[in-house]
Amino acid sequence: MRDEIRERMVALLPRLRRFAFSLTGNAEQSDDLVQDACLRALARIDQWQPGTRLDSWMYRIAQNIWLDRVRAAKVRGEVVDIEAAEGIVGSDGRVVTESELTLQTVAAALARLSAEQRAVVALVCIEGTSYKEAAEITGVPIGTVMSRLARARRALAAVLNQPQLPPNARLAAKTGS
Amino acid sequence: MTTAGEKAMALVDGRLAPAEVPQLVQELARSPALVAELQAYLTTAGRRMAEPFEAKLSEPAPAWLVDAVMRSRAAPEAASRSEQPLARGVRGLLGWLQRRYPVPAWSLATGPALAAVLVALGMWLAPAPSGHPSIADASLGLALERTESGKDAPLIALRPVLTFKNKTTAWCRQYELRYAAKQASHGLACRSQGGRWEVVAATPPAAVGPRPAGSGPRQAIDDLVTAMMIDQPLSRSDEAATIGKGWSHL
Repeated sequence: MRDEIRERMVALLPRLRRFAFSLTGNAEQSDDLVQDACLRALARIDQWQPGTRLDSWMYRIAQNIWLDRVRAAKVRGEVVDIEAAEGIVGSDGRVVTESELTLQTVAAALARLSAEQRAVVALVCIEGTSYKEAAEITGVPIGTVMSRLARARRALAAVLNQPQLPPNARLAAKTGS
Repeated sequence: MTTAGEKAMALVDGRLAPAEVPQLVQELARSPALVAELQAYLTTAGRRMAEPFEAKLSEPAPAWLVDAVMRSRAAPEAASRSEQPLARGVRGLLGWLQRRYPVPAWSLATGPALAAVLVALGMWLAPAPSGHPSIADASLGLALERTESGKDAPLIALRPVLTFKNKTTAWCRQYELRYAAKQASHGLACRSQGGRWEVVAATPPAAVGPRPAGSGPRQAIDDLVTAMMIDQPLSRSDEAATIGKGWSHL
């Protein structure tokens, strides 16, 4: 059974790496996070109920490890690397359109969110989980997920749509088509 | 679903119950602010956030990561990205560390930075017969190792970084030792019942300088702290109170 679980984890690696990257914003850290999550999952495999979703369980483990690290870093007073958070405005100041959301842009915008907000955005907007699944993975009530997500997405919209024009020339966000 | 804004978000995500749509439309008709909020959600709706990550999804996972999953516990050290597997003596130290402080094995198998820590452990802890050195012993040892007669030792300062309780409820602290010529080492020490601070792990001194987050020997100490502590590190005020009480347990 254990070998089968390992194979399933390997099959999940692309999604786990994508999730970890959206949390950490850094390729090396994200792969370390995925490794730690897989090793913890294997060590605690008896806690996983066969028949339930392995991917949700692993997302949960990964985000818990990451949140622990972020909180410990805060207590240590470590300065967050804000280089990634700058330089996200489109070079000509236009409102960001659909084709212009690059990986760098999104990663920099995500870096500005709190850890908890980043986790729900990563789950719902990138991994495509439902609100309910996100609530189960993060271990908070669905209402908390909704409000956290709403605040995070309003903040992201403000950052992603921010032109370099003077404030009175700012355009409203384009509606999707 | 509580607020109109959250319903607007659910609408944009295609997740609003059909029965709730008519009322939301009426609210949108009455409220330009709600319309603006809905427009904001459109920025991150659909595949717009996910599309930039598609390339990440189709990247093949690195071989070392696949190995780590398929062969963990058997040889996680060999599966790490380090080019040198941990020495046999260091594996013995891993065992000692687990017996002395209940640290789960998975938390110790995390790659080349930890190897540097464990080599440093070997430097300070073996083969002392009567237990492990105190902070004073460790920095004294280093000073004697490296300082010429007639010159000042390079140790400048000890700076604690955080305080926590480990799983046997001993007080532990992560610290940094700073030396001349912009060198520093990082360590973790725990307080015995008798009030003696004993080094659990420490890195050899290395140049301080810009380093990508999450790399280097400091990361190994960070990982060890995360693995060993119960709950969270102490807040500044709780730490001050604990120091004031002479580290007595409540």
